[in-house]
Amino acid sequence: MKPFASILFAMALIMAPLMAFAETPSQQSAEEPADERTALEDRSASFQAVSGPVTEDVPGGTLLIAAYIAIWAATMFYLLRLARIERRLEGDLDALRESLSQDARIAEEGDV
Amino acid sequence: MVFFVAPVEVQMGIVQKIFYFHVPSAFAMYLGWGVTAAATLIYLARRPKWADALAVAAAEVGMLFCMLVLITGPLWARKAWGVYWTWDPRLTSTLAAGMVYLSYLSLRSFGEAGEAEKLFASALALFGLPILFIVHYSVEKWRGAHPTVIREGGGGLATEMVTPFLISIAALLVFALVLIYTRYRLERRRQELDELYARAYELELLGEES
Repeated sequence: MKPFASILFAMALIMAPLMAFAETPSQQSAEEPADERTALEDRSASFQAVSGPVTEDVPGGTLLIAAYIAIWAATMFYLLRLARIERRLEGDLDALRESLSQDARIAEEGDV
Repeated sequence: MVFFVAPVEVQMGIVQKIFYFHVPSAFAMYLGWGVTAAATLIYLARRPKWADALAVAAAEVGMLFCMLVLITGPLWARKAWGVYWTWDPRLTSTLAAGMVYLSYLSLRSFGEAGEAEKLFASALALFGLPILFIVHYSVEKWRGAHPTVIREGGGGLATEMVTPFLISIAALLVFALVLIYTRYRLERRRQELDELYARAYELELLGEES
């Protein structure tokens, strides 16, 4: 049960940004055209050159998801680093313990 | 809450939600490096080993959150300003502070730091402290491109955005404290292990030191 709950929780965290794309009713009404227009009227009838610097429409959702991924990646990287430090410390402690017991055995054999 | 409760901002749209990670990360960065400076002062005054361990632990966590600030900020800026980076006072001072503490961590990571390295690193940690004040007050003192939504005497945040924002700040500050404590415990254990090795050699319980 515990792994299943963990997987669900992780999926909810990963999928959370997608919820931000869901349009709220107020947004929908704001984006609806004030009057009914035909497809022909919606279509551009001419092309005009821009005056001033050329701008492009940057997709905000992609940037938000990139930021969210970056945060999780950096956090996971740091947690892995902490785990690696702990493993190294344990290894050093085991090495010290082994060296001490080996030296103690040699000393005992020398006494005999 | 950031994705479910916080409303979409009217002008910038969905990308404004980066704000809920970006600003709390900056606060966590202040916390980390503030603790580093305080622990460094204690270390310089009385030389307790725990203060040295705390300074290193908090500097590392501060660096993690500085990285998050410097990653999420440009992603927001791409939409808001049309460029990932500009030499705005706050951005530049944050980068400068990051480089100072990166130098501190580099110096401390050269194996077992001696007393001279520790003192030099302490000086760097204290040098970084005024830069943090510059980071914080740069938007007020020098008019740059960086937004000033969060400022003293109330901000320009919509009422519905305040609760998710405060919860984000609380969550990231608690997370930063947990990380500092965990890293501090590991650093203390490393110090204790080094002492055990030194004591074992001193008592000739181990062979020749290589």
